[in-house]
Amino acid sequence: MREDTKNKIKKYFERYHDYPKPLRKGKYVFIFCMLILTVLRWAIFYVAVNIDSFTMAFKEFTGYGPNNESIYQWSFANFRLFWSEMTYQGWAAQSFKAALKNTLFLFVAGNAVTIPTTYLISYYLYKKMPGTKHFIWILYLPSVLSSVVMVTIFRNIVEVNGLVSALSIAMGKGAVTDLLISEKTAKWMVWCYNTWMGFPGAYVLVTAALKRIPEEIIESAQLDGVTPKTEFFKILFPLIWPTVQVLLLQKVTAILSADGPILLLTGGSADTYTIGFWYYDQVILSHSYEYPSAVGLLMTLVIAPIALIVKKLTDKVESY
Amino acid sequence: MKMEKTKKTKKQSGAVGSKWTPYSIIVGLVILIYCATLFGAIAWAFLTSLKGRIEYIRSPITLPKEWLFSNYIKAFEQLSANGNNIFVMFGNSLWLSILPPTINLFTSAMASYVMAHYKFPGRNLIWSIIIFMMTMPIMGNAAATYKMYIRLGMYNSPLILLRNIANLGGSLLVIAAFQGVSKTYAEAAFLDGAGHFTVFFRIMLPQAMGVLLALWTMEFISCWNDYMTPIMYLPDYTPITTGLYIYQKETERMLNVPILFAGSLMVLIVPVVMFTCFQDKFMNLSFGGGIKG
Repeated sequence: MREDTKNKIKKYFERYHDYPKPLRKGKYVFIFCMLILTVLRWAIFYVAVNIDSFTMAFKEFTGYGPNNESIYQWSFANFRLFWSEMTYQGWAAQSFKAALKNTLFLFVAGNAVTIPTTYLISYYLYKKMPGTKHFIWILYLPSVLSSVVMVTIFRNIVEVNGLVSALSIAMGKGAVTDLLISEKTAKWMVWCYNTWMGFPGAYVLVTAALKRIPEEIIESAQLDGVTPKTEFFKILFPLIWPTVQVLLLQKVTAILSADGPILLLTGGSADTYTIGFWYYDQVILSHSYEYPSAVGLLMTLVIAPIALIVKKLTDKVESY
Repeated sequence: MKMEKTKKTKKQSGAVGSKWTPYSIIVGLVILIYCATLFGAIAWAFLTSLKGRIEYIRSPITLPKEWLFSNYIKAFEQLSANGNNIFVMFGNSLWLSILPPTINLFTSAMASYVMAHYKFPGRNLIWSIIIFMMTMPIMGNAAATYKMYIRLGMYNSPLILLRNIANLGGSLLVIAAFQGVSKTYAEAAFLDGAGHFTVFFRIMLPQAMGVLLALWTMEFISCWNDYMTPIMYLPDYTPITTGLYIYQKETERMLNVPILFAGSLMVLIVPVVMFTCFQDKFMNLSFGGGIKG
């Protein structure tokens, strides 16, 4: 029986014999040493953190014990609080409801600009139209420049004594009230900044995908007299579909994290709370852990199926 | 003849078609205007950094009456945050930009090499977990992460660098880089009596160094620009980016914008110089890699 088990184990490991016999002994020690740090990191900062986050969602703080330790009880209080917040008829600018509304606004308005520009720019660069050599690296700059610096410049452009106001006065139109303080304009200013810095979008990925398309395909299409519009939508776009699919998936999974540097721009004032800032406020400033965890669990339950559906749908389009 | 053939096969896709079309003119103009806003804003910040405080308040749009390059020296003297002067903040910026990518890429290279060149039980499971983590978004674990950092003594401590250890199995880009290195090099070294560690450190790691260096530079820039991590987890180790934000909060109405801009522009120098020096590597990595399709 023991021999049988030994043989089974031997046979099992035989399929992993990719190195000569003298090196096999050290092989597993080597693999262990090479992987152990990343496994530990994953176990602590992914598995343990997510389990903790899950359990915290069902905990309610009830007070302090004799040794001043926090006492919790299992409950659905966090979910009830979420429900009451979402169904509350009034308006609270610092609530999750407001944050959700603003995040969705920034997601839709931001992508309405960056998705078209990504493809327009990528096609331009792919076709090596005038200036491509310079544009290709200038458009990379927004991802290299520090957000703090660019927000500092942007703030001083749109602030009450800033460049925009000074230009308006010079043109005889009077001072512009602080665009970052008014509830009517602050959100749009955040959008303006996000669009300014995110304008080229994922042009690097799309241009790289376009460049991998065999030239013969384009040449034969051009011999058939294809128009640029048909060339892009009917030939190039289907050929780069796997890239588009990944970008779509990235967009969907990032729906609730579309916010921008709210802390630097407005500090969350003037109805600019976003989900990212709401988390910062709850966890770092207010030291509230259970309620954000419950909200995180609910967000995962909403976004994860959507991500899977988008993946399935885009897979279908590809096979079609 | 042979040369000509090679040249033809190397010709990149898309290099055909007329250059001046309504499309190219409109999109080219849009890109030009965009570039003008980007450089215009930085140029305005530079001109502002050469003005006096009162001069800026009176007229933010005019050229400086007197070009006060001394503002850059004043920035070194006056910019401070949380009681840290600019030298301390630049020092913090340096270790917070050098160590995280180094730790991340070294541990990533270790794990990725094994994933790329070794067969072992559990390898497929690791692949499945990597794919799962990539496609399945888990949201809202910021509170648990923050608590974990406190529990492990990582909060407000250089131990926070432990979070930069690469995630399970390394990174897909580094795995691809090692897959691109032929196994025959390793086999030849094994025949000469080298062990697994020697082969990794002396033969395979140097071969992937090009990609690793490009990734290191990209991560360095990203860490240099990161202001949120120190605000959240390292309140006593203020780097210059976070310092600029805190300086604005601390000075409020007494804020000296030209001095602030002088300091801000100095912060831009490091990433821009690094990007300019390594732009070919950046572009090769970005445009050569990516998703197949």
